[in-house]
Amino acid sequence: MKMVRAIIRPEKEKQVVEALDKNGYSSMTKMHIFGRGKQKGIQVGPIVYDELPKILLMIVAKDEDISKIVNLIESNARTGNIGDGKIFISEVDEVYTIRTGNKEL
Amino acid sequence: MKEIVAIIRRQKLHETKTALDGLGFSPMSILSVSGRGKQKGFIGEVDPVMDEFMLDEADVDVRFIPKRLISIVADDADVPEIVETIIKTNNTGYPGDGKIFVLPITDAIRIRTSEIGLSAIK
Repeated sequence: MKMVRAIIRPEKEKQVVEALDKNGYSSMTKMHIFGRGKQKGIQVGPIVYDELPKILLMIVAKDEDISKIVNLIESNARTGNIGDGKIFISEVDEVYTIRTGNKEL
Repeated sequence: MKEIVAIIRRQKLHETKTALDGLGFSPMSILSVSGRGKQKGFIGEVDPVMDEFMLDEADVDVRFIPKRLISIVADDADVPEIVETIIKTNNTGYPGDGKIFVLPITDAIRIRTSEIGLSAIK
C-alpha cells in the first residue's frame, strides 16, 4: 500500500476529484491547507502573498494503482503556471477498516 | 517508530481521545478534514449538523463528509494496542466508520530539547 498526498490548486479540486472518481478511485481525504513553494509565495504589485491556499488530497491505494492515480492528478491539476502543486508518495505499512476491523482498504 | 493516521467520525473524537488517554497515549494531532470512501460520500450517513457549504456540495456529484483525522506517532510495540483501541471505540458497524493507516517514521525530534528518536515522543 502507498499513500499519495497531492497539493493542488483549490480551483482544480473538482476536476481532479471527478477524474479520479470516473476511473474508480472514489476514496480520498481532503484538507484545506496553506503553503508556499520555491517562489516564496506570489507578489501582486506591492503585496506579497506568503501563504497560498491549497487543497491537499490524501489517497491510499494499492501499489499497482499508484502510477495511474498520479497520472490522473498530474494531467487534471496542470495549468502550466507556477503553483500547480506537488505530489508526494509514501509507504503505508498497514491499513485497517474500522467497521470490519479487517486489514484491508 | 510508526505514525498512526486514523480518519474517524467527528462525534467519536472525544470518546477516542478518552480511550487513548486511559492507555497513556495522550499526545496526538487532530485535523478537521473532509473525506469520502467506497460509497462515494453516502449522504444518509452524515451527522445532522452540516454547515451550508456541505449542503451545497451535497447536490453535486462530488460529495465530501466532514471527518476528523488523528495522527499519533508511537513506538512500534505500542501500535497494535493503539490500533485495537481506535477500532473498538469507533466501530458502529455502518459505512463511514473510517480507516486507519500505519506509516513508517524514520526520525522524531523534540524541538524544545533537541532530543532525537524515541525519547522525543515518550
